[in-house]
Amino acid sequence: MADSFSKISSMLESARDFTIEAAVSASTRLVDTPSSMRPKEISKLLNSRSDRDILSGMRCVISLISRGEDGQMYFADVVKNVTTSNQKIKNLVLTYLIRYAETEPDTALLSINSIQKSLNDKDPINRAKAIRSLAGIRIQTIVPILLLCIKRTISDPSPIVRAATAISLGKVYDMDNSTKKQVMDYLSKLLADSEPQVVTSAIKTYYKMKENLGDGNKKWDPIHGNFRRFCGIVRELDEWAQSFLIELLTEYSRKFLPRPKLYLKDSSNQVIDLPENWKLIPFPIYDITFDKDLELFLDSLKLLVYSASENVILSIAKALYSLAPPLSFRSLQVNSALVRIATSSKKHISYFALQLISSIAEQDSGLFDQSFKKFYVYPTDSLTVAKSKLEILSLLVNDNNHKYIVEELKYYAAHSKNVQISKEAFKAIGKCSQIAPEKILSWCLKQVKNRTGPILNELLTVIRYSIQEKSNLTTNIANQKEEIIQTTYKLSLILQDRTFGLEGEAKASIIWFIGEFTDAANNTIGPDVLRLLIRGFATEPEVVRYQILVLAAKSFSYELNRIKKEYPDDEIDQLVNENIVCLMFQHILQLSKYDASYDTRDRARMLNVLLNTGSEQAQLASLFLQVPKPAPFVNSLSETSSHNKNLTKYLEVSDWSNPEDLPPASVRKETKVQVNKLGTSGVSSVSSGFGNGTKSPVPSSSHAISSASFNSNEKPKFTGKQTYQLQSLDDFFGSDEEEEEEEEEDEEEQEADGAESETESSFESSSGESSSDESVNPDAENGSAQEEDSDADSRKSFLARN
Amino acid sequence: MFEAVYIADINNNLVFEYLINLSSPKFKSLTPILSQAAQNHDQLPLIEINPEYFIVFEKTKNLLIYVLCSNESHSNPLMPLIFIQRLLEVMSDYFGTPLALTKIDANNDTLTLLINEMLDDGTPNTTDFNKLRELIPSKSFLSQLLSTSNELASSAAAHVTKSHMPNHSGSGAKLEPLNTIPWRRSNVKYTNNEMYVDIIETVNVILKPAKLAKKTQLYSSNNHFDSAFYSSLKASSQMVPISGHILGQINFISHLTGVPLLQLLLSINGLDLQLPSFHKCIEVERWLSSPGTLSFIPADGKSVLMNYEIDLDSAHRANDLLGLISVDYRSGLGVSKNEFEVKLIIDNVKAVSKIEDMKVEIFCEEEGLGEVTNVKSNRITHGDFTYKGKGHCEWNLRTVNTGILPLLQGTIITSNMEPEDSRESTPNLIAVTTVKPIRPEYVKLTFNYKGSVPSGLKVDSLKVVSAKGMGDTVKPYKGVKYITRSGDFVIRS
Repeated sequence: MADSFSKISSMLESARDFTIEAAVSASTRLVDTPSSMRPKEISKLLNSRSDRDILSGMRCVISLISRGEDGQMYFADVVKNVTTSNQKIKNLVLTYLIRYAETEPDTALLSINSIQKSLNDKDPINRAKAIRSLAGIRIQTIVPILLLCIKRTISDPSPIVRAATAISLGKVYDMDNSTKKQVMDYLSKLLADSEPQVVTSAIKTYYKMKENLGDGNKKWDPIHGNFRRFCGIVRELDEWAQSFLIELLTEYSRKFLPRPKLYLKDSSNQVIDLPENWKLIPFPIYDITFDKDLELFLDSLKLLVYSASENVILSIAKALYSLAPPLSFRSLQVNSALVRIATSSKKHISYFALQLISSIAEQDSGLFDQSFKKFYVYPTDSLTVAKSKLEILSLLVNDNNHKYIVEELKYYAAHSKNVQISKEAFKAIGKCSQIAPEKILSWCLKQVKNRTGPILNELLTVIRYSIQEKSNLTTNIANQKEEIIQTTYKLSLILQDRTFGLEGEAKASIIWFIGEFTDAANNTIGPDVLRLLIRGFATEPEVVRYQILVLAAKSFSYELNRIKKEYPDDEIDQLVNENIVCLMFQHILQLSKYDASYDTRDRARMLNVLLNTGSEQAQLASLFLQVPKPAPFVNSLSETSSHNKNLTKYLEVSDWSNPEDLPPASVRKETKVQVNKLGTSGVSSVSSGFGNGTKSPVPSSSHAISSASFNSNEKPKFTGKQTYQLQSLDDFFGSDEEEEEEEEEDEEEQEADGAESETESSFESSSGESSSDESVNPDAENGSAQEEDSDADSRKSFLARN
Repeated sequence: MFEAVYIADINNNLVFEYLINLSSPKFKSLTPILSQAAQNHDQLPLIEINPEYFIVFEKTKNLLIYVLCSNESHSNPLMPLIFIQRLLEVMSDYFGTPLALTKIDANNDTLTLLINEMLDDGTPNTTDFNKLRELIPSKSFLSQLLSTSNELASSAAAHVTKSHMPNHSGSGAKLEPLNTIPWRRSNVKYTNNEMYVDIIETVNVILKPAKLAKKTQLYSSNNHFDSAFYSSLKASSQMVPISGHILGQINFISHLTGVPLLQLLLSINGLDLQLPSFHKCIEVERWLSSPGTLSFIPADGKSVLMNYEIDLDSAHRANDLLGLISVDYRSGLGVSKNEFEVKLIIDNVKAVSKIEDMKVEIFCEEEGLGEVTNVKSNRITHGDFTYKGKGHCEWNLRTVNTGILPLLQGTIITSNMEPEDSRESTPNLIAVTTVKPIRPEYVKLTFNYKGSVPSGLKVDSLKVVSAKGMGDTVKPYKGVKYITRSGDFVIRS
């Protein structure tokens, strides 16, 4: 029984797919008609009397546009349909208008009136759409009208409409910068709205506008009073606004809050400011004190780390990275959250988490060293992911885990299919060699024979690094020397082994290496290597010839010093001239003088002057040639693999403000929450997880009617100064009516103007609706009379232009 | 921030584009850059066009989705990627899964409207599909009719005799104030109230055979002719996990009327779930005070309630957490030390009847010993073995029953290997010991099965705590499913 039903339902499923395909062919039929005929067909549909035809016409237009074709030629036909009562058609027309209004502003203006009328629609969704589309029609001349509409919708009872208004404000400012003051005024009202949905949109708009508001501190004015409330409601916003808000508040904190202080728990008991770089924290155990507001902000993030939106986690990480020490980072479990994203199956997203982890691990590797195994490279990882993982591994190495990590890195170096990965792995090994140099060195020497090209270069760098580290250590000199000699000897054997063709670069590196450690090896190896190389000097590539010259010079300089020390002055000249190393040097010098390369010739001349013009210069020469070189910068890993540019830019924050410039904490005294509802029940009564636990000030109502029915959980109480006058219901409707009438008059005027065009008939039906609208959409008007006037003025000017 | 959204097929032919204003570039003008980048598979999903603009893209099975972003504000670099994810969620909610090109093409007007809501002024606006359903009526009349009849059929299948049509809120008048739960659409009505929990765990692990004693190795190489012999040498060589984790996901499908408050109790069995992430609807405080309790008002339709991770590195009994399938793997066997053996041990568990899409891939690459030219199978008990070239071969078992022991023995043949007959004629023991073993680089397992999850996580109960709008007498149908999948299940030589 059940079986047969499931059969039927699967049949129906396939039938559905089939019909969808049939629908495709129906709607594409028009799109596929020859392009010469198409516009005619479509305009016929758009001008039809039947809604169904118009709808399919609109569908065609929209689908043409979404296929990358130009839909501008249908402009007039489409705009005509804006008066339709069919919401489906209207939505499509509005979408079209937003896109093309700029191209034909004059025709587009005809539609304004009817969109404005939708602002009185019963359905809040349609009102919201209307205000959004009105702002989406980016024609500067309508800005005054738009502002007027916004003035009404800003106190709409539905949060959807107010949210849409918040978005529209951003566009108004984009179109006309002179509205800045007005827009900011409205926006700060919406930022203080009681509904999270509205705050969500307002934050998005503010975030976007902030970029263009200049550098002054004035743009932060709307945030001051809302800071504490935002901390309370951040979890109720949508994922985008959460990110934006955290970033805003992070920047705010750097600007307006005092820097946290660290109380070090070492012997000095120092109190220091939180340094920019975590590396600069001198002692790992400390207490920290935050400013109260900063603490509030950081506390508000505590539960957000459980968010499923990765972008929010990234924002939190940024906030803590720039506002708090590693201790707080760990206590909020942000490190675990980042590791979670890094190991998730969404590869692209995990890449950014890896990048961030490597940036943070650079400053404090302790945060992640527990989970180092999470950064092992899987064979399916892409090169970019593998690179970041290797980088992190090399940063996380410490005494406890180096055994595992180095073993793992060796595996990648030896087995990875991708040359790039093994190269990176060698680099990473080089970094690790600080911890366990002996084993790595001997392993590397074994590997030299199997490797070629860039990998060999990396390998030699690693060897050089570990040797140099050793020679820098002063302890246990005899032992170290022994090892250096051994290593150099092994390398010289590799150099002489003709069975595997060393590439020029690698050869040059080894020769340089031998020369560099002449002193450490008591010049036991250099002369012999030199002897073997002289024969083939002419056939060697340029880099090798150059290095041979350098080796000869170093070797000779060492001999010179030795002779000087051991014999009296008068014998020196003779001894030097008889010395085999000297003879080899002179020979190579001779050869180099005629080298094809400028560099080699140049260096040959320089060495000639230094070493062949008497013993006084010899001192200088030895200084010159045997100066201890800095160990190769193996940390360069991060430089070469280049952190993601977008991420680096993202992590940039402004400097902490000077403590003297900070405004008093009282600026953050909470402003009043704007409540605009008519008896909708609060969320908190439905879901206890939503809306409780907020430390925000209790919303107070500006409407007499709404206060009683508002929010069953919280008792409304009035705090702070009264910025807002309570209106009685009569006042409220009274003022509204006046306003409404005035507007209607204007609209009628406008209509008369618009009617000049040929679309007369379609605009007719509008005036009759006005009386019913007022009762449905009561809204509060709080603007001063002065503003009213200026609005009216600008409207007139607009009409005159029209 | 976002300037345009393009959807193209896998060959970079435009299917859909949405530009936020007229000055945004058309897809055509970007095609050369994009097709160049598309060839580079290993790249980041990020194409820089010029210092001001960059494109982020995501590749699905048959679609390429591009989002053009401006660089001015240096905002959160994850936002475009998350936006694409939300877009995919919305599209699959509206147009059904799997997302086919034809569906997008047929509904491009709806999609335009959707993106118009999802993006405003270049900033993500309403991206939750539950909310979008309220703003944009979902389906055309025809498909709505079909889907209702569809639901009718399924309701009949569930032996429910009531035959009311579910009322999709899109068509109803919305005079009453909208529901204020941001993740749930308002006025949800169903005739059959159903809810389903899916627990899906993905195993990612790198395994390594524990080092065998030298003796056995020598022994086995001496007995190379009897290839069946060395497989029985030791019942199961120990595998050591080098690194691994299980990714868990709890999916929820809700078809419930009204605004129900649910409680889902999980038996965690002392597992360490690390730091889980939760859907917006979950009360995190509740979870923290009593771990294992998920209390929530579900979103309508599909949602991911929770993601968790089980760390195999710190777990005591990591080997027990790998699920039903364990592997016995040896390599470097035989005279030329170029043979390997893979034996799968599939435990017999009541709840799991079969393993699906079982596949073993073997990747060989030996640099020092010449290129791998072929991999031969010497013995195979189940499924097919194919060599795919470039040292990659595949043992495909498709669907197998539990409680069996499939076995594969193979030989790797490299380019500079002596011909076989000459090798056989001179079985020189000294030579044998000096031969360098040729091993596969790694072996990768792919499988999935239903019925249990490796961590042993279980749903204890799923209760309706309060059923506002559903009626107290209604007992919703409940279903729980456990699914195990392999992610990166890798065995190193």
